[in-house]
Amino acid sequence: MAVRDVAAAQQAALQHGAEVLFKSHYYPQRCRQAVLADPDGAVFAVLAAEGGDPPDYLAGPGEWIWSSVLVRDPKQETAFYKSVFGYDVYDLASEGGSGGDAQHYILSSDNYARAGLHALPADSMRRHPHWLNFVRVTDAADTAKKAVALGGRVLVEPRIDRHGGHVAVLADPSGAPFGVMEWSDADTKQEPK
Amino acid sequence: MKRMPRTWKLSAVGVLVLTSLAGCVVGGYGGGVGVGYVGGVYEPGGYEYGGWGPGYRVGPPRGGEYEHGGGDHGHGGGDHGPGGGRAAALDSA
Repeated sequence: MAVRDVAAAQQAALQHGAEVLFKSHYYPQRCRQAVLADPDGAVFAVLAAEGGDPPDYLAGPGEWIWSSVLVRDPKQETAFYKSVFGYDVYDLASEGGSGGDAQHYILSSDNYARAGLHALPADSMRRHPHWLNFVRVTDAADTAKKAVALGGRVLVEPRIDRHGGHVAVLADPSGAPFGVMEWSDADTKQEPK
Repeated sequence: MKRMPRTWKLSAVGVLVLTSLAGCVVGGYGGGVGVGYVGGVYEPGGYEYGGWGPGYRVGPPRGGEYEHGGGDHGHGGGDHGPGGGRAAALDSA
């Protein structure tokens, strides 16, 4: 998460149940950063870039477009991210979305959807809460094939998601998981910030 | 909890620099590569995925889905969409 004051964000996170894994540290000419675990144990970082944040723009293919955090306690986690980072929280299931039986939320700010927060699947209690970042692709199935050919693995097969495009979860050759997401911007309204 | 707007803007997620820096410091908080953090160490979790049933969706909603939910949800028509990972309350005090 981009923040203005890493130390303040770290302190606020601590006060709301987070754990500091790597305390605020300055990287010359780059940024100040701290690595934390939220109350559920999902690891994330807060970062203040030296040159400030770039303006919001729609990610192109090959760029990171979306983030999701999969957790055990969505209520606690939404409260945490709302309190510490000021996100607006939207309950997809209760607002008419097709959230299924699980709990799904959107964290947003400035009318931008910033991330999804989801209850871990019911049979996934062996797995730990975590953040998962998605790269925008034009064809998730094709990307999955390429990943396998290059030594990666498919962790979740390409599937239609709520936005109408496919998503998949892959692991690179070292085992690090990441998502891929198709996104059609043909009918997306971009507004200058 | 607020009602969901019907128009969201889209933005790239600025995690590249974050990821690269996290890679630099991974040894500083337990070492290893994975997605789970338990008891002070990461647990490799890359191959533990699964269990994503038909109703399990992680992406952002589009306007169409929400419009079918019925009711007046405020704001103008349009699409929801993904945005960059930045905090709303940047001071985070």
